[in-house]
Parts: sequence; C-alpha cells; structure tokens
Amino acid sequence: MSSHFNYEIEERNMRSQLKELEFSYKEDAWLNYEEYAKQFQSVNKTQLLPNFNFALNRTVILPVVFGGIIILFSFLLFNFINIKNTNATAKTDVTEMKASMDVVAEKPKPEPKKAVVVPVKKAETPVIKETAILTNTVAVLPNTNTGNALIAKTLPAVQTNTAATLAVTNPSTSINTLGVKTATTYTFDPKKKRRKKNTVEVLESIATPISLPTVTQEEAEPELR
Amino acid sequence: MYNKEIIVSITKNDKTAIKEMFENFYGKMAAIALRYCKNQTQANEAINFGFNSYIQKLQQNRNALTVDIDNTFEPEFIKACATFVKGISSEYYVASTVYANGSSTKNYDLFETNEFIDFNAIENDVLIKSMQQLVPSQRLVINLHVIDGYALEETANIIEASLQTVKSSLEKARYNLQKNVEKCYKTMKNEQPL
Repeated sequence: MSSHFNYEIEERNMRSQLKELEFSYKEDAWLNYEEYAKQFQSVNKTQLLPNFNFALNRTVILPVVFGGIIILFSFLLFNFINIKNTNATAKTDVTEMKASMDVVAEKPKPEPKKAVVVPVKKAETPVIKETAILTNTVAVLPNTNTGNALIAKTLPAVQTNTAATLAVTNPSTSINTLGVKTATTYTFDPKKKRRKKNTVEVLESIATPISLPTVTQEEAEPELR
Repeated sequence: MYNKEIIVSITKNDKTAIKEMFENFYGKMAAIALRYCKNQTQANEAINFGFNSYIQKLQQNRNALTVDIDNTFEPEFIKACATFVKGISSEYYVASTVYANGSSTKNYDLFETNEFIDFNAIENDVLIKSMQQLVPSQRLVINLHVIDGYALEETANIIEASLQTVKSSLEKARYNLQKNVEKCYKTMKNEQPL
C-alpha cells in the first residue's frame, strides 16, 4: 500500500446501505433448500440407529491379548496358592472334629460281627452226605503206587448214588511220596454261598526224605579234559 | 414475532413452519450471503448452510421455546456464513492472488485517472461486486467488523485468527475495496448505454 493512499469510503453510509439491503423471495431458493435439507435429514435418520464401529487394529488387540494372559496367569496362581488364613482353618477343623467326636460317642456301638468259622475237618475216612444234592468232598484214597497215599480232590458233580461212587480221583492234584495219610476235607453247605477267600487252606507238611541222593566221593565228577 | 406454536412446529420439523420462516428471512439472508460470498452460486449455498444450521440448533435446543428468533437469527446466520466461507479452504488459505492476465500497459491519461468518484453515493451493485472481488479473509474481516459491527476481538474469534492478522487484513481490505469500487464504477459506467 502506498503512502499516498487516501481512504475515501464513508463506512457509515456503506454500512447503513448494506444493512438495509434486502432481496425479494424466490420459490427456487426454497426448493433448493429442500433438496439440501433432505441430505441432512437422511443422515440424521441413519444416526438414530446405533452405529457400532469397532476398529480392530493393533492398539486394541494387543492390550486385550495381554490382559487375557495376565488374567489367566493370575487364575492359575490362585489355584495353587491358598490365600486363606491357616490358623483360622485349623481352629475350625478342631471344632469340627470335636463335634464329630461327640456325634460318634452318642452313636450306639455296632454289634460285633460273628466270625464265620469254616469247619475244617481232618477226615481220614471219606465223608459222604446222602441228603445233599450237590456235595464237594475230598476223600483220601489209598494209593496203589509205591505205597504212597494219594490225596484226591473230588470234582463237583451231581450225586445221586451211594457214597462209594462219589469219590472220583484226580491224580493230578497232589502226590505224596512218603505215604502220609493226613488229608483235609472240605465240607460244603449248599445253603451258604461259597467263599473262596475265607476257605482255609492247609498246606501239607512234607517231610524231607531220609535217603536223598547225595554226591559222594565214590561218584566223583569226571574230570573234563 | 414467532409464537410458541410456530417454534414447537419448527422443532418438530414441520415443513410449513420452516418454509414460513424461510420466506420471512430470505431477503435478509440473501443480502448477507451475497456480500460474504464471491458470487451468487456460493451465496445460495451459504443461505442453505446458514439456515439449516440455525434450524438444527433450534431443534437441538432444550429451551427452544424461550428463543427470540427475530433477534438471534441474524447474528447466527452471519456466523454461519463466516464459517461457510472459511470452510472453503481451497479459496480461503490462498494468501495472495497474482493475476497473470492483468494489463501491463499503463494509462497516462491524467483526466481519466483523476475522475471524481462520490464514494458516499455508490450503488449497491457496485458495492457488493467490489466486496465479492476481495480475498475471502479480507472479505470476512471487512464484513464482520465494518458492516456487521463486530469488534476486532470478536472478529478474530469468529474467523479463528489472531488480532494482528485481523488488523492487517482489515487494512488491506480497505485499500482493496476502494480500488475495487473505482474499478467497478468505471466498468459499470462504461457498460451503461448512452
């Protein structure tokens, strides 16, 4: 701007002149405005609905992942560590134990069970029960081989005939070489269930033979050359 | 004067009430928009923008029934116009415009240049046209401060600039306005039929 410039415009007149200025109404202007306002109305209607925009980027995912890891780790530690006061728990245990003891003391003692005694009989002669439909007997039969007694165990079988036919020898059960005639007999009561575990087995005591084959000087081992 | 029933219908987006209000304020709006904008097309856009923003403010206002529309409409519309002009950043932030097609030949006719112009009796068309030719920042400052009567601080707040910038723009605007008035006056005079 030059220094010779003189501002000659009267601003008061200009202000009053422009302030009083008005234009006549045009219908086109209203139509133009309606079109313009429709855009904003449609935008406002759409904004009434909830608009959820979740920006899943690195800044969101990483904190969530780390948070999840921390929560899981703390839960894991919580399972191992007992935060509760141990003294308080011990006291409560003692009181609970006393209460339980009182209850136990009040209860009547149960009757002692009767011991079931399985009769074990040493029968030198075969025991035969005629009335039984099914019997299980162990009979000692005279062994014919080398003067030794054979202890045989009879197999369970339906017996209807006399006692003589009941004894069935089972030679594979046991062999007594010294002729000991002691044998055990098992009685079987059909009314009661068989108790395999409660049956008492009596193992035979086998005496050592007098004349055992020994290595003497006469039978010296041949020298291996 | 707008009674409560009309205001209620405006807040309920009643088209007849809004149209009635538009008709009442159109003359004023058009005059304001024309001097704030560079041409008629931009002025129409400014009218739509300013009026729509006022209606939306009224609808969102909880105490809308107590609003005095006659007194509040004009200042609100002026501020909306200023926002609209400032919003056209491609035009507003051009600091200086160099016209390459300007006449390079100087006029040495002393009588023509010294032609007397009565600035007190400038026609409205010449005045508006000379204002429209100003740079947007200068146009805003001279409109807000000189014509609409806002203080320099208020003007600075409205256009979001410093006080020094506003003062500088005002000085430039005055100079350019007078030059534009002279130019427009001559062209209008030359265009007039004998």
